[in-house]
Amino acid sequence: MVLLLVWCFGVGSRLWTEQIAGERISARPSVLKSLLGDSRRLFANHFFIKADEYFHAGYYPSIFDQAATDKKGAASAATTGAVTGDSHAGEVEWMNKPHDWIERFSRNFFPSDHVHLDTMDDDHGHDDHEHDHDHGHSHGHSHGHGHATDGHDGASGGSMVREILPWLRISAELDPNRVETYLTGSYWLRKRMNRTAEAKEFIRDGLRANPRSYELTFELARIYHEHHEDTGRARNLFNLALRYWNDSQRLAEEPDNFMLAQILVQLATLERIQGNPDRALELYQELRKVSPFPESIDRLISDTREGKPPTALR
Amino acid sequence: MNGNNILAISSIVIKELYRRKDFYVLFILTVLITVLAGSANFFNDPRIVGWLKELSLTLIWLSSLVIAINTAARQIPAERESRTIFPLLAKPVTRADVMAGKFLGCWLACGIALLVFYLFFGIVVSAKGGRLFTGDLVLAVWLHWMLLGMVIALSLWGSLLFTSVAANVTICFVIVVGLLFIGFHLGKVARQQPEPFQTIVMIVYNILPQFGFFDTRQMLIHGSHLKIVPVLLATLYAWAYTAFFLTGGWLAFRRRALN
Amino acid sequence: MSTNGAVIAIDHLQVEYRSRELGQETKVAVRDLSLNVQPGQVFGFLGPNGAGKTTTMNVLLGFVNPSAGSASIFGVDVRQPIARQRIGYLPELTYYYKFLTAEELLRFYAKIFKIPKAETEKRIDSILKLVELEHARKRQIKTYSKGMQQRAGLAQALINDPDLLILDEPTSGLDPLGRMKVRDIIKRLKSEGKTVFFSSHELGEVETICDRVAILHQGELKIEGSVQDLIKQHNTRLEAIFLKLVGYEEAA
Repeated sequence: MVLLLVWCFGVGSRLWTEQIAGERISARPSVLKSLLGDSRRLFANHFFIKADEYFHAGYYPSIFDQAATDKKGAASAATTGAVTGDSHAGEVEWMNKPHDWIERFSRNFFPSDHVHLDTMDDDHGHDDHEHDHDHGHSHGHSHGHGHATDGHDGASGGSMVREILPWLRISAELDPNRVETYLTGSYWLRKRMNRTAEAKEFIRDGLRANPRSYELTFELARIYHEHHEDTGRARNLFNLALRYWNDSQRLAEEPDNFMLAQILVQLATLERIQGNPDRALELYQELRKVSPFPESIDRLISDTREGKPPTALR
Repeated sequence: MNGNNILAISSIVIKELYRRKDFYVLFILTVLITVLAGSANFFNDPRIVGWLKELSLTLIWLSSLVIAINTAARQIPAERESRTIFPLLAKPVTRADVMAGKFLGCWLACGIALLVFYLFFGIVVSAKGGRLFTGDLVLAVWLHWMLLGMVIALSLWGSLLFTSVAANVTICFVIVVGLLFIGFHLGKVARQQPEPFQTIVMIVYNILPQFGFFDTRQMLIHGSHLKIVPVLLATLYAWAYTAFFLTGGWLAFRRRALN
Repeated sequence: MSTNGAVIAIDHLQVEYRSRELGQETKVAVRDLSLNVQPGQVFGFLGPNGAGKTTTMNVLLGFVNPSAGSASIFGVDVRQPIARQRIGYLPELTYYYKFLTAEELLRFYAKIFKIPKAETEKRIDSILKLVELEHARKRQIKTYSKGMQQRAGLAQALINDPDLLILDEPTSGLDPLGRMKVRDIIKRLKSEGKTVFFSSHELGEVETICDRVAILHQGELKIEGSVQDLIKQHNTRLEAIFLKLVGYEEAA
């Protein structure tokens, strides 16, 4: 209880200070780091999973369910990872037919309907008659890496999604070096809640802790491009992301080519918008080397040569 | 058993709870932590309430278990240590009356404590603009109270088996928390074991009380609805285990020397 | 032994304790004890530590079952809870519920005896006056001195207006003033016609207030009779008789 109080005080006072100060202090002494040591990474992971659990409105497998699912040779455990934006279509149902009376009866006492927060809103209870049971739908929430969107935008629906945010913030506080947390938070903030300023601020937090992260720089560039329509600044940031990618991934054994492709395609599009077809072609050539679909890149190259305007990327 | 004696003994237990500091300390800590956490700002969205529900309910559960186990575990040892058991049993009071009175007192006292805690929970959630279905809240509190009945009966029995209060409290806490966390999953574990372990674990799984039936925190947090029939069945289940633990405790008490 | 009209009747009582340790013999705490206490008597139950006094009292109160023999109070077997309806018991060194006030403590015990509310309040007033705790009736027992706690204990023993009082070393650990107060209370109870059965190490005190005494040693009844008769027979004080019976003289 006392430890919890100390922890709460730590997180609370920190978040409160931020609110008052209005800006973050980059080189801060971390109370949490001193208190928890490296175990904070475990807690950070726990809270990140908690966010996913909230995304599924409590319908979530325990470690025992995950072990059982894994044993059956199923793909990744149940719904894990959906909050990060992985396709819902890839999720595996972990709650099968009950094996015994205890399992059957227990389902009356915890959420046993598979729903997602982004299909619910404030006035949407969790009533069996109310919520959408469309398990197979693909809402395709992106990893913040340029996946297609699904049309659920901003405050129009899924305002309950806000409930996952505290866990992401706490997870980031506990492990500021976990880039995935910032990307996930930013995705939900800007895509589902129309809170671009907060998303930008969150990504900036991540960049303070991870100054040369190509993923975070890329996400920030996207915010400037998609939400502020500041093409110049976005282009600079994409270039910076490319530079960071080169610094960290070029010589890596298994470079993150997926992200490279994302950066290149975005950057090339911006170069075309800004009237630099030569630079765009250069980038497409690079992209062709890493893309799993070189023929579609060839099409982009021929479009650029013909001087066609680029398709907006969102 | 004599109802008058049981009520008289239980009234003393209730008085003890509200005159001791335990409840107040835990309640104030819960309030402090919840209020502190509630004042945190997450992305300038004041309507976020789920995490506060989670934190508050965790604290309520933790506090209720501490209160229930501690109060129950010290009842009979304290009577023996201070020797008040002698003047009590020197009156027309049986050991079964003492056992039942202590249980009822602890259970009612914990019920009162739960009401205070959940009232605070309701206020916090409402103040943050969160939604809470009164019917679900009532059923959740009821189930929580039923669970505490089993926990209290278990602690009372433990207090007659273990020599020290601290040992009993620790063992009860480990058992209760363990059952809450892994009770439901023992079946899955059993099915992955070779024979004869599978049968053994399966028997244990079916015999142990499934405390998880009474933990409906996730339903409250995520706004799922509880149904009345399962709640009633769970109540009967809790009463059966409570009666079993109390009988065990009474048999141990009957055989036990008073000093 | 005739038990006609006896308040307490003990007949060939035997209490044995089996040791839990291997190889240890069964300990006989009380051996073939027979005793009668008549109404209105103040009966002193004497003996050195470990003589079996408290064990006998525990049998009378139903805390311990006899291995052999029987005991009854007002003609009812002591194993029946109803046998305890008309008795008041003051155990040795008891720390009453410290979070209660004296009033609340008495109300609690009165509730057990199903005494009506109005009657309860009347009795509380008179008992607290008797044990001189009126001034502290609304104070929690944890604030009481040892003597006050003992008097609170005496008060609880009197709440049901018992016909028989069983007092286990009622003056032990008290200062001279406290002892005198408890002695006075016992004398007053005697004057009210109550039967008092009490154990004590204070032989002078026993000599002053007891009608009859029984001396127990190593679980056996050594002597029983009226205080005056014993003093006459042995031509010495009770203390000397006691010391002789427990073997102190031989050792000297």
